[in-house]
Amino acid sequence: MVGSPVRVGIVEDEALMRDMLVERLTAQEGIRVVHAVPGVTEARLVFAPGAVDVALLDVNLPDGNGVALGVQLQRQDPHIAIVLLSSEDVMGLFTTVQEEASRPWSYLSKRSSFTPDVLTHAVVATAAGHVVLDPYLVQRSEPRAGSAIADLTPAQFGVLRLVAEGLSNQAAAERLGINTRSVESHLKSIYQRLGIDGDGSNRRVAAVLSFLEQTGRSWRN
Amino acid sequence: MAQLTIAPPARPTRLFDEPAEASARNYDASDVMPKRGPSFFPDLWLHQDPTRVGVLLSAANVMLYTAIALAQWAGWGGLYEATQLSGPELVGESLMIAAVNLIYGGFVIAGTFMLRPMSWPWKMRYPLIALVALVMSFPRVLAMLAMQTTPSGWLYVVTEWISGFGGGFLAVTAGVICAHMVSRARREESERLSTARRAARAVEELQTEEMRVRRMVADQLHGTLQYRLVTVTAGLDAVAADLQSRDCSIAQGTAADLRAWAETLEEIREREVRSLSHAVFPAGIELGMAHAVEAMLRRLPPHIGTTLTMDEPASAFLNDLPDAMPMAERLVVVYTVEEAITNALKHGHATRIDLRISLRSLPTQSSLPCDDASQARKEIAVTVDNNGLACPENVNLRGLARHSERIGTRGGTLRLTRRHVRGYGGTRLAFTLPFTPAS
Repeated sequence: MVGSPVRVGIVEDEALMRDMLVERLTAQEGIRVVHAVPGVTEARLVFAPGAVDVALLDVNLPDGNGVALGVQLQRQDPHIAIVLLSSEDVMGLFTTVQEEASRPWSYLSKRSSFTPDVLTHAVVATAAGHVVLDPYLVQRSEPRAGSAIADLTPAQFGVLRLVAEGLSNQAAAERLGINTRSVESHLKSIYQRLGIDGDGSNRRVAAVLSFLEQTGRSWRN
Repeated sequence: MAQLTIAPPARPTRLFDEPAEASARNYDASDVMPKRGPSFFPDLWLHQDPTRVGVLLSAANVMLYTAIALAQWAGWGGLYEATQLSGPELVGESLMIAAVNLIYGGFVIAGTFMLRPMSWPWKMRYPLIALVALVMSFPRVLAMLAMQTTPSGWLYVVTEWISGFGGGFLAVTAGVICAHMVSRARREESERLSTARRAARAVEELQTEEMRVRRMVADQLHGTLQYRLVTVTAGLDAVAADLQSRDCSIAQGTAADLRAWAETLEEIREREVRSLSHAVFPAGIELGMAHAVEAMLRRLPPHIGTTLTMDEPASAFLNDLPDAMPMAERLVVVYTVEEAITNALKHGHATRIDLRISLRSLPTQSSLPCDDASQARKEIAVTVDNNGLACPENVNLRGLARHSERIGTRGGTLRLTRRHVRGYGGTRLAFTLPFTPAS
């Protein structure tokens, strides 16, 4: 964490959850919690443009919706990055806003946010311009039948999953026990198969978006 | 948990049990607002002043009566006498007869209507008309007698006086009765309108209240219950991680058990609690219908292929103005699509769902002053195709019947048909739903 700390604003109505998030994030070096409010109304009052780098928003707020709030905050301040928090799986909900967003949106389930590393990683990586999807939900995700992602090889899909979790190539290589070059070559084929072109970070975001759109999770065992 | 007692799981309220029923009560205000159309009286009459209608009818009656009086004069021998006169004198004599009767009729009409017969009690109304006719009939009969061609016998005078009085009375009475009926019809119409307005307001209040309760229950489920279950799961996760790190095989076995329990809890939360909260308030519905439908498709198990296509007007309207479709209609669309998908997976064993949404503006039906351009109605058309087993011919709609009925009350249509595309069987559910966009 070189340079100025990541400034985080939290909007969460459950007081215990909010306190837990503030405590966990404050304990991290390089992260500073500047606001922690319980609802949309308060957030509109205190989130001044330029004051927050990452907004951590609960999706279900008593006086509104976190997704709508995120859209509004980003409209006021295009540099703000969003991390959505939700107790139930609504990861499919924000694909449309994601496509028009000025900065990437990440998604974390509340369950995962209890794990300090996952929470910190989501905040820091989102601030750096990555889309981070909830690791637990990502691991449960399967390619949707008939989609382009369903045509990827299992190894390629494994790499895409880690990219969707917001891991760097190096971290993904470590996790998979392969070298970074192999990860890079997998990624190249993934971009090709999914029809993604463009440059580095945009391609990564596009690949995560495809992942979001073309995978599903089964909750019926 | 205490706050959740509003809907004890042991005896589910109708909201939980039958979410669709609850919103079936969401009649559009326009459903109960009266439609203008043929009623007891034609529109033209209804919207005119009853007195004017009465005067017009009385005047027509007087004309008729004048013709009768002329015939009476001719029949009694006046015409024979008149033929003894020269041509111009004959014409003059007939015109005089007509003029006397018209003027008499005019006086009876004027006298009666200037006394405002509509405000008299009905028992007094007709005697008063008779009185006016009686007063006016004397000058009339004198004027008639003054004419040289009229017979001058007592019998003629009495007959002429009685027929003049009777004719005048009947002509104007008919006009007054008609005016009275128009005025009554108008009053009834306005009562009907205000009753309909009251009903519309009551429905609206009910709808607002229903939304409030839905929101409240959904908030409790999302916020309180879900959050508490999440904390328990996270707590189990933490204990499992702690046990896992110990160098002891028993501890590691317990950790695996704990993880399994955490998974079970997660499944319960995602399936049972979620289906309850979805029943009262589908995820993303407050963000717009398109979001909710899309989220629903993404929720389907991954082995089900899905596509969502929207035509240009639909995508422009639903994405740019997500709040424009009223919540009641959003719920109708989302729950009907959901029923179609559930049927396709359950009965049709489909592995592919194709959803198409299109939108058109409805032509404005009337030129009532309350309609302005921003209130132009729109109609959404949704087609849900699947590749499963085709539904039987003349299928019994069962679960869909409720949705069909609800769509029907709102002026839409719903059809379930077998698809006849070679190599791609299955069933098609198509429905349309008109609505008035919120401004």
